[in-house]
Amino acid sequence: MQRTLPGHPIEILLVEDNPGDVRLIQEVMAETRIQNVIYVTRDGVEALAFLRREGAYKACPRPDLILLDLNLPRKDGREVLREIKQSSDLHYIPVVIFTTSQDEEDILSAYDMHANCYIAKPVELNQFIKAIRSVEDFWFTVVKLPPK
Amino acid sequence: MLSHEVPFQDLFELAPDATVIVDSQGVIQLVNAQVERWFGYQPQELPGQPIEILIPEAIRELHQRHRSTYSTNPRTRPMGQGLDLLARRKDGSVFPVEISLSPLQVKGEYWVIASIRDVSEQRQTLESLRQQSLLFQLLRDIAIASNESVSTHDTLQFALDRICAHTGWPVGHVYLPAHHPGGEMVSARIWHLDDPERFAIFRQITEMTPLAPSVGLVGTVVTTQSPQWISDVSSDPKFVRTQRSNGMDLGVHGAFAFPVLVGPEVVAVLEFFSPHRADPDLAFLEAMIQIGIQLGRVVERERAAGVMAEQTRHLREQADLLDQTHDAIVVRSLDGTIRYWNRGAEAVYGWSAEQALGERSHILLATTFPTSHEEIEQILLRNGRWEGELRHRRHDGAVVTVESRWTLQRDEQQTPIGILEINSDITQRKRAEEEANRFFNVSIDMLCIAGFDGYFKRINPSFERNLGWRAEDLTAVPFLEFVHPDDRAATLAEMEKLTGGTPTFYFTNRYRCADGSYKWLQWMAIPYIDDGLMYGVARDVTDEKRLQEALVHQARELKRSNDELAQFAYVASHDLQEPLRMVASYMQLLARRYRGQLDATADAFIAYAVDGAQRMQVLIWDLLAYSHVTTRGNPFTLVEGDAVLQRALTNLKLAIEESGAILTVESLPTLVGDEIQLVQLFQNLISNAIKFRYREPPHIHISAEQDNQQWIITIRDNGIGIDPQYAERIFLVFQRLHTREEYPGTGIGLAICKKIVERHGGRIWVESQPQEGATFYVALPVNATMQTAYPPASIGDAVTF
Repeated sequence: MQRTLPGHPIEILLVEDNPGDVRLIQEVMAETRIQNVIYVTRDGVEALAFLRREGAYKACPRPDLILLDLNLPRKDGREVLREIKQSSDLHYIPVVIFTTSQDEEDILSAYDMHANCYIAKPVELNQFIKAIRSVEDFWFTVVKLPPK
Repeated sequence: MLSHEVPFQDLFELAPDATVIVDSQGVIQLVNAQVERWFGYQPQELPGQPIEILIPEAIRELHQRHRSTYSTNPRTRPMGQGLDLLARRKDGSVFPVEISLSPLQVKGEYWVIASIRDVSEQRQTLESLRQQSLLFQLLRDIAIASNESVSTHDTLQFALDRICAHTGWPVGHVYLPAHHPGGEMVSARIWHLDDPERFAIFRQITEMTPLAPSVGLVGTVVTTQSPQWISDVSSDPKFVRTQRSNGMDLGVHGAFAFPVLVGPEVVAVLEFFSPHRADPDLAFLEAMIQIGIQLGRVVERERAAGVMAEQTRHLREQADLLDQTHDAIVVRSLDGTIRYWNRGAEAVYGWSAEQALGERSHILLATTFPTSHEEIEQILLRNGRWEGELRHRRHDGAVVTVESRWTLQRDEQQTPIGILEINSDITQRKRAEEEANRFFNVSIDMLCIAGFDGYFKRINPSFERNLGWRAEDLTAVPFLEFVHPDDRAATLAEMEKLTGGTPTFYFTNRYRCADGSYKWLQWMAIPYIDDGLMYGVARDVTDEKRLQEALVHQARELKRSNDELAQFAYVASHDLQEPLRMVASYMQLLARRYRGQLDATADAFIAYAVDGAQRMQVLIWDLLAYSHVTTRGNPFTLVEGDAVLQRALTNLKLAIEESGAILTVESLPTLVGDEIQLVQLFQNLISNAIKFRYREPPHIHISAEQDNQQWIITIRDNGIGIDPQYAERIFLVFQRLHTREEYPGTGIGLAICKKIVERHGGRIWVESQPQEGATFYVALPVNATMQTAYPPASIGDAVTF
């Protein structure tokens, strides 16, 4: 968990086990116009603890958006998604599935569990940057999110 | 004067006859003591009386005339020759006499000495003889009538008539035993009536009066089996018919009755009635006993005749039946001469009765015996019967097998007189049996007949061959002992079903072989409850069972393997791509961050690295697509070929427009398959045709025709063509004939086509020459089964991925 910018930035929970992807996302987000804070958890158990403000995460905020990879250690992204969407406290938080998988079944099951959108990570960097920017644009400028 | 002459007087007195001396005037001069005794006169009472005093009044005048005639020609002679002379006693009674007359000259006159002999006894004897003679005549007549009798009825009638004639009695009648039980005698309505009108009432009452044993005249005859006499039935309280007459005069008085006897049995009673009282005549009744016995013979004979007629009828019926039967029935005498030959025999042997009768049966039929003929004859003589199988030669030379039953026929003295032989033709059955036996013996399957008792009754040689046991081993103990212990409960349950009448289909259990190993047997069995038997067929399915187990194992392995591969495919789509993305992304990030600080060579290297990572990713996607043909296939449905093609063309719209390709399409048939895959099949083939175009514009022709049970779909182009040596290689995964610079692509398209076609049970091939265009053929079965993939997805994937 790291705080990159002060003030009242957009707060994003990134659930991602691959440090390369974490860094890449952070790099891309750093270049954006929108002020943001990215909290990172590396597996599903940590992610849920963060969201429920358990243990070390007591003082953590509720994120405005969750970027969720599907294949995670300990508790995988599908279970995390299900628990979020079944929780009356958490289900309103938009969850963007951001994963390598392009498998149809993954896509269908994610939407089935009320994922807000599903994005396959592009191989090409420009495409990757575009995808991240699109998420930012859509969720933080286009969409009216519920108040915290 | 004579009285003085003593010697003469003594002689006169000593004479056995009564002697009367009469003078010429017919006056009695002298009589001896016999005269006084016989005629009932006192001494000295008769002399001086006319001789006519000794003669019945009726003939005295006649006698006087005869006497005067005699005096004119006196001589010694018997008096009244040819006449029955009668004398009159003093009391007036008359008795028969014989008289001898002798003249005696006394004082010039002719006196007469008459010797009188009493012939009463003689006459009685004669009468008795005459009566007896008549009786004999009667007996003889009835005996003759009895012998010549044609019917009992007529003979009884004749006896009635003759006895009535003999006795002069006007009424004769016959009682017979009633046919119904009870032992009563009833009127036979056989009558002799001299005056039917006079005795009508008696007749009526008689015919309405059955008589139980001991009751009345007839009943007494029945009980005593002897003749009875009633002097006057009108005053006899035991005479039933008088009691029933209500005082009416029946007109009968004297009566007798006698039995007709067969042995001790009274088969009829004859009764006779006189209008007068009559005293018993025992001699006569004796004769009647004889007549009863004579008549009894008639009844006996008629009975026997009746029995014979019945027997004859019975025999005729039997003979008819014998002719009805298909069995050959032959009667032969002890020497083998054929005496009877029924229609069945004619049919079985082809010899007519005319031809067979009189022939020696075993020669005619060339009999083959199971053992020696002598032995069979001995058995027949000892037991009275013999049964067995014989072979006979027919008239036409063919040999028939018969099941033969012999019965020895004996006469009344138990002397053997002939042999009844009944032969059933079992040639067909025998042949069928033999055929069945041959099949039984030759069968590769194990055939058996087992009892509900759990024992094999009969097993074929295949049992021995398959299990290694001898037949005796297998039949000696309950077959359950050969069944694998783990299979016994199931086997018992199956047997229970069988004994309840349910056949067994494809039941399997394990049987122990002689070498200790077990074989899997698969059973079919049908129970025959009435016989308590099961007919079973078993087949050694040990190999199939092993194969099946191997298949099950393999299928399980394949399933596991397939699951692993599906997992692998997922892993490939996800985990393999992350590192690639890292390589590509960070290479690009490097280029982006250090723009201007790297030289052109560094930029080129970065470009190669990124391109490599990206191609690697495409390869992974293609490989996944390839594997998805079987792992992600949809169930087969009826698919319109034209619609499939249109979808493919729609997907290729851009490529077709850009290339200016000209497509000519014939109507395609309805297919059975996975629509999405079929669309992909057409899409890949058409896009290839466009991609590898040669002449402009590219021309593509698509058609279909039926060849037997398959559709042949043809996609012909005028493209660059393919060297035939590569005709097979192009369908392999990632096989390319050109550089990526010439034609982009990984080389997965045709491999996917092949896999789709194979999943549909079809075949794909190409015919082409370089620069001559290529023709791709897709053969798909016309009658593909819905819902079925060829080959099964789980196996196919494992084999071909």
